[in-house]
Amino acid sequence: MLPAAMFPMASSVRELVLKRFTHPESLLRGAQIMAREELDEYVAAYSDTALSPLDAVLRAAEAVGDPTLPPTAESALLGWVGAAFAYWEQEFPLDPTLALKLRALKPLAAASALNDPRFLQPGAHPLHQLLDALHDAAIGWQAELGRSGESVVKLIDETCATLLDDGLVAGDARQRELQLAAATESAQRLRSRSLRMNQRVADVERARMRSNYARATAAGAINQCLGAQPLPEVFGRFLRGPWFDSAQLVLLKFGAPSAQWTQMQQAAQSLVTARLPGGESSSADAHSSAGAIRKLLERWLLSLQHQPDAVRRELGELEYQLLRLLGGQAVERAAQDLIEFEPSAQVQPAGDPALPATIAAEQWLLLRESADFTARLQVVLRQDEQQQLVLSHLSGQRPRSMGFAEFSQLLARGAVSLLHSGASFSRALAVSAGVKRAPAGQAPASQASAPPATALNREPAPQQLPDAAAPTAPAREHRELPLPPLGTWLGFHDIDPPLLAKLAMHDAVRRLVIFVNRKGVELRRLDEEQYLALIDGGLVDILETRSNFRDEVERARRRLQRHGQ
Amino acid sequence: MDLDRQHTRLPAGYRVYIEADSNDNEEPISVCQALDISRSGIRLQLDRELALGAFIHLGVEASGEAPLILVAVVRWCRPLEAANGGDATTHWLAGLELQPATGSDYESWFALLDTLEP
Repeated sequence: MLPAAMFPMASSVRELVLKRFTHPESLLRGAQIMAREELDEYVAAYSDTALSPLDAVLRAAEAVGDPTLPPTAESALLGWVGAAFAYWEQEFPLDPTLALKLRALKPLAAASALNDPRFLQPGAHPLHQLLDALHDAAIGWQAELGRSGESVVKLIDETCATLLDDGLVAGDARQRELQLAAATESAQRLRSRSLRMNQRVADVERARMRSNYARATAAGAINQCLGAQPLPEVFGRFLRGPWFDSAQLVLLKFGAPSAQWTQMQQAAQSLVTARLPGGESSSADAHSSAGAIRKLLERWLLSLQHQPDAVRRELGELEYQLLRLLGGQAVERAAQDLIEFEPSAQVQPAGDPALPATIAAEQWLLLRESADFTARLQVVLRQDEQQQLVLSHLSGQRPRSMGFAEFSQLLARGAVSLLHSGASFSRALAVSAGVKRAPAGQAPASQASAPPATALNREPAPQQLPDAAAPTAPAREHRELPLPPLGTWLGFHDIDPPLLAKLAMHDAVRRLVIFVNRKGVELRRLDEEQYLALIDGGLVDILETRSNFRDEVERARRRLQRHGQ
Repeated sequence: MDLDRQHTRLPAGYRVYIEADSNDNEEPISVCQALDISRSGIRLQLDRELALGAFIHLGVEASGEAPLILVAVVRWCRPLEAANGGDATTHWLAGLELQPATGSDYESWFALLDTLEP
């Protein structure tokens, strides 16, 4: 398939169209040629848009006993437009409801092909650009979206009504151009809005995956300490509490393969296996060992770094128990509760199936979910490290995560197929004319290293609109803040050591985001730009070490109701 | 101290959910009571001291429906005995100023007050 980046084409495909769609001379021998005015009238009366324009004209002529045939060149143009629409609908399928609505513009395309030489340059005519943009905006639409998809249907309905109200050949060409340009801009805005919302979903999901991964890895390691042997209760509480929070911060900041994470695990081991070397031990030895362990632990207690009182309290209790333990006193030990976590959030073992490179952010997919329902979903995020995809409906609706393994199974079953977009109508026109490859120098760089063709990656990936001025990324001033729910804990890595803080509030009027410690005391105040810059720089992790406040309140309320209060 | 020079205070016995003092309590949420409310604030009776200037998340259960989630800043907090001779170590009064926080039910709070104000 031709790359979207080659549009608009710099030259006309007229010669290719005439060569491909002109009937053999023998078929036309002796035929009477239709006058141009008559042809325009037949095209203007073209209403059964299931037919190609040429078939519609021929049927209409036959119905009234008109023996004439359209002139050779015009006949070829109408045949080309019909072939292009058929290819467009087949290779770039929209939901059938929308495809049917857009067929209403087929007569306008036929009339434009006959009357405007620019139509012979795929991607250059305003109608091409409009259909390309409408397709980009509508590719994720399906009726099941309900109200969240209304804007797409409304745009298509209004666009068709506006363009067809004035007839196929508008008296005022300038007015028609303005109508087409305005509708194209509306479609591009709609697509940009959808991209922004998907970006927001991606930001939140990326942070959630990272924090889930950190949570699962930290919990797995700490549970090994907790489960290896009975421990003093204070050890268990410490490991499940501030140590667990700190472990997640270390993992987010340095990663699991880091020396820092190894050292932190060693520090925890030194706590749970604390005992003096065999033989006689002195009180001084016990103090020395307990102090050394305390020092090791304190170094990594990042979650309490701004709360020296809390550090003293937590470590003071630990050190007291350690001294008793190392001093040979009886210390009550008990089996410890483990930390609950989702093991699936941990890094998948190597060897899990790799996905084709085409399964990347912004790629639309058709996913057969049941015998009678196929969902249109966009890849919002691909996380190779966690082997997770995040898919969502149009405009970030109902996002869902899916492991690579599950997705690969769907691929193998044929339950997933790619939906192509980007200069779709222009591409259909060019392919139907017989254009087989991008002109030299116009192929996108990605083609050179494209993977071998398969059922899923036969199309190069570029998804940009042909108009370089078209928005392909959200403008910063319109970008929505990727804010987690109130009360969510975030890790800031622009500060060393990292800062753990809770989202207190976002003030949309003052454009401020305020973060606090667990007592509500303000730790950090960022304006929206600063916050976005940190998010963009990957310096903020959304931790879910605790549920958000609304959920916690609801749980507390249900608990009280169960107890009849 | 009066939080509320511009808006009418209304007596209220609403249940209020706030974050527990996590150092003392295994439960993440504790329950206290609203003594009176206005458009801009709420006065609470609770069993611990709140830090002045702290940002507090509240769930106000006004009428058996889902609690309204609000964000407020602590403007004052004092032991209850200073007010009526109660046990200063276990009960406190706090005046909170509500904040227009994204993601909170600040607008629903105003709608609630619309139904309550004479």
